[in-house]
Amino acid sequence: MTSQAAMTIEQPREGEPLNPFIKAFRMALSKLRDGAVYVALSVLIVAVWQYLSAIGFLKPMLLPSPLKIGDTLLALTLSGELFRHLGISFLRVLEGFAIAALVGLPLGIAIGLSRVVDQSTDLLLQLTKPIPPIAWIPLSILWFGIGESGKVFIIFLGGVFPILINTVDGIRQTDQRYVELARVLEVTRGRFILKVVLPGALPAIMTGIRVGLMVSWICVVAAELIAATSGLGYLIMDGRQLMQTDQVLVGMLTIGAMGKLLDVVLRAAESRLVTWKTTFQGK
Amino acid sequence: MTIATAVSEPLHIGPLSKTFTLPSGSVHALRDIELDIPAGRFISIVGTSGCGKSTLLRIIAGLETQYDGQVTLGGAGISGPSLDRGVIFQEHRLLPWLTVEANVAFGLKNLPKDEIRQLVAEHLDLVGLTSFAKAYPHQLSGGMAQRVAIARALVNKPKLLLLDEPFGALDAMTKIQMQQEILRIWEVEQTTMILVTHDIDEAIYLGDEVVVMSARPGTVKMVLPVPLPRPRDRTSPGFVALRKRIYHEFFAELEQPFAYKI
Amino acid sequence: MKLNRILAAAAALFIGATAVQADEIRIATQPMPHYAPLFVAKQKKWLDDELAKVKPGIEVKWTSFAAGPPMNESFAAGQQDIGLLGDTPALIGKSVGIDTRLIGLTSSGPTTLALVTGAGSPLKDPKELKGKKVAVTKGSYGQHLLALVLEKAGLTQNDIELVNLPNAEVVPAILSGAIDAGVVWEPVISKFESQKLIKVLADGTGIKKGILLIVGTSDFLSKNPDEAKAVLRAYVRGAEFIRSNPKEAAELISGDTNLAPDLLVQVFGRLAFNPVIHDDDVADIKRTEAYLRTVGILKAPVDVDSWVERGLITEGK
Repeated sequence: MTSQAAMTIEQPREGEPLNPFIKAFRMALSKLRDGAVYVALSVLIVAVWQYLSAIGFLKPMLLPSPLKIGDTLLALTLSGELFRHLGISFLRVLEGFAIAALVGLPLGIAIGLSRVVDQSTDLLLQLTKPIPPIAWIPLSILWFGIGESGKVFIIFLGGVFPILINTVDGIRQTDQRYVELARVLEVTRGRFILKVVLPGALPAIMTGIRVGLMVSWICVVAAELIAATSGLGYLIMDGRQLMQTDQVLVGMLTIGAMGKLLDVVLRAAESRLVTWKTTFQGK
Repeated sequence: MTIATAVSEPLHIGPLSKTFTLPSGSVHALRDIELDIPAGRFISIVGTSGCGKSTLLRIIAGLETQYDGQVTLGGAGISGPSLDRGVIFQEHRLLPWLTVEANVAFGLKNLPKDEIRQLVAEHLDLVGLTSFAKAYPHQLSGGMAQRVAIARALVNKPKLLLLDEPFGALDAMTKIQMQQEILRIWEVEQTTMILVTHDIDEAIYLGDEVVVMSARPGTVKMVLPVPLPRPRDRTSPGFVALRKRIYHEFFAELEQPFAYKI
Repeated sequence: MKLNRILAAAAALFIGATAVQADEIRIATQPMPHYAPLFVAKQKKWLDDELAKVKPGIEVKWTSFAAGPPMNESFAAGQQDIGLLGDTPALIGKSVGIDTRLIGLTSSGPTTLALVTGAGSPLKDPKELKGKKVAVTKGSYGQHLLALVLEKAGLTQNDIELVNLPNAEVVPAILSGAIDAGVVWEPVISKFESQKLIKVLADGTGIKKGILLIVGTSDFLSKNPDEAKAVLRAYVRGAEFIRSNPKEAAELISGDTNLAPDLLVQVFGRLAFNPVIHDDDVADIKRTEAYLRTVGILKAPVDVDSWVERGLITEGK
C-alpha cells in the first residue's frame, strides 16, 4: 500500500513554486467554468437574437430585441409595477395553494389509509381530475364574479390534484416490510400512521407539493389572462391589447423566473426534510 | 450489567401443515411439523431455499395465521404478532427517519421517559453501539444496523426471539462476528432463540440443537443435538462430524462421484 | 402543403409578410352594426361587382374578429389587407409599426358611444362618479370617451375606481351590482335601453364623434389602389341602401352582425355611414392620438396627417 501522506501533498511542477495565489486562481477558474457551462446556451441564444434584431431581420413588433426587453424590464421594475404585479400573482398562488394543501393532504391520507374513503370518492375524483382548471374559468366567473375568490378557486383546482394523487401514492407505497415490523412490534395504528406511513410517504408528498405549486403557478397566469386587473397574467394581456410585445415578454420572463425560484426553494426544503433519501444525481 | 429479562416459555409446534393457494395451484409449504422447544434454548433450523423454514418462522411469529395445526407458547395459542415473540428479519428494517435510539425505542410503550431512556441505553450497550445512539441508519454498516435491530427486539423483553436468516445479507467476515455477537447476547439474556438459516456451519455453531428440514413440502427430517461446549471450534472433530452428517442429508448423491472407478 | 404553411409562418415572423395569393383580397371585420354597409355590399354582391370591374376573378377572403387587438395581431402577421376597426386599436397598430394608411371611415355617431348606468341608479350626472367603480375596455375607443367625460365633470381617473371589462360584460356587471357605471358602445346601448335596464349618463355628443376606421396596408395600397377604391365604392352603395331601406338592410345582414333586425334598425338611426374623411374627422383622430400618448398607450407618436389617405374616395363618388 502506497503511503497515503505522499499522495495528498500536491507535487509542484519543475521550476514552478507552489504559490497560494495560483492555487486560488485555479479554484476560481474551475468555479467559473462550472458557472459558464450553466449559462452558456442561454447567453448564446440572447446574443444571436440581439444580432438578428440589430440587422433588422427580426421585426420589433413581432419579436423585440433583448435590449428593448431589458429596457422595459428595467422601467417596470423601477416604477415598482413589476413587483406589484408579481406580488399580487404570488399572493394568489399562496392562497390557492395553501387551500389545495389543506384539502389535498388530509384527503389523500384518508384515501390512502381507508378503503371506504377510497372507494366512495374514487368516481368523483376520477371524473374531475382530467378537467383542466382553465376549463373551470367560465363557471368560476359565474359563481365568484371577477374578484379574487374566482382566481383562488382556479389555483386551488390546479394544485389539489397533484398533491392528492402523490399523497395517496406515497401512502400506498408504504414498504410492506415496515408494515410487518409494525405488526411484530404491536405498534398502535395511530403510531403506525404517524411514525411509519407518513414519514415513508414524505418523499412522494414533497413531489406532490412541488408539482402542485408549479401547476398552481401556471393556473394563476391563465386565470389572470381572462379576467383580472393586476398580476403577471394581466400584464401579459395588457401588453397584448396595446400591441406592446416587449411587455408581454417581460411578463413571460418574470413568470418563468418565479417558477424556477419556487422550484429551487422547494427542492431545498425537500432535501432538508427528507435527509435519509439518497438520489441519483445524473453524473 | 444486569438486565431484567423476560421469562422464556416453552414453544410447542404441531402437528403443523401449511398450504399456499396461488393462481397457478396449491403449494404445500409445510407438512406435519412437530417440534418442542424448551425455554431458554438456542435452536437452529437449517434447510434449502423454498423448504418452508421461513414460513415456519413466520407462523411462529404470528405473521401467517392461516395454517392447519397448532402452535402454543407456554400453553397459550398464537393468534397474531406480539412483542412476546420478537423478530429479526434478514434486512435490518430500521426506520430510516429515526435515530438509532428512536429505532430501538420504537416498540416500547406506556413507560415513563427516563425508563425508556435507560432501557435503550442498556440495550445499545449490550450490542456495543452506545456511541452511535444519535446516528441515523444510513450512516451504519450492515452489521451495525442488524445489531440495532437485535437491540430493538430485545428491549421489549420477548419470551422468544425469532431470527430469519439474520446474517444472510452480510459479508463473510461480518457474519462470523455477528454469530459471536448473538451468542454473547443470548448468554446474557437467556431468551429462547430460534434461528433459521441455509448456512450449515452457522446452524451448528449457534444451536443447542439443529433441526434439519427437508425440501418442499417441508418436514422435519431430523433434530440433531449439538453437545459441543461453547465457544465452538469450527475445525474441531465434533464440529466437522456434525457438518458432514448434515451435509449428507442435502448432498448425498455428490459424495461418491468416482465410486465406480477402480 | 403543411410544410409550406410552416415555412410561410416562419418567414412571416421575420419578414412580416405572407405570400399573398394574387387574386385574393383579405378583409378583416368585426360583427358590429357600424360596419353594416360593407356587410350589405357583401350580401348584395356589390363588393364582388366593383372588384370584378377592376380585377376579374378576384376573391374576397373574410375574417371576423372579436375585437381590435386580435385584428392588429393578424395585421402584424401580414395576414390582412383591409380592416375595419376602432380609432384606438388602429392608432396603436400604426404606432407599433403596422404599416397601414387610413383610407376611410366606417361610420360616425356620437350617441353610439356612451357612459351608462343602471336604470334605477341614483346617479344622474358624471360629477357623481367620484369614488365609484367605473368599467371601460382598456385599449378601446371608449377609454377616450371616459377621459373626456371625466374632464368635463372636473374629475380625473384617480377619482374613480377603474375596472377593465370587455364591452359585452359591462352591463351585466352593472346589473349585478359589481360596478356602478361603464362605457359601452352599440349595440349594447340600444339593446339595454329598449329593455329599460340602463340609462345614459353622457355620450360623445359634442366631445367625440365616435368614428370607426377603414385601414389598408401600405403594401396592398401601393400594389392595388384600384381594388381599395372598389371596396370604398361598394361601401358607399351599401350605405345608400341602408339609408333608403333600413328594414330590408337589417334583415339582410342580421347574420353578419349577430343581431336581431329590429335592434339593428334602432342602431342605424344613430349612425351616419359616410366613408369620406373630413377635416373635423382628422381633428377628432388627432385629439384621440394626443390623449393616447399622454396616458402612455401610444409609445411612439402617429403623424395623423401623413397616415390619412384621402385620395381613394371623394364626395359624390
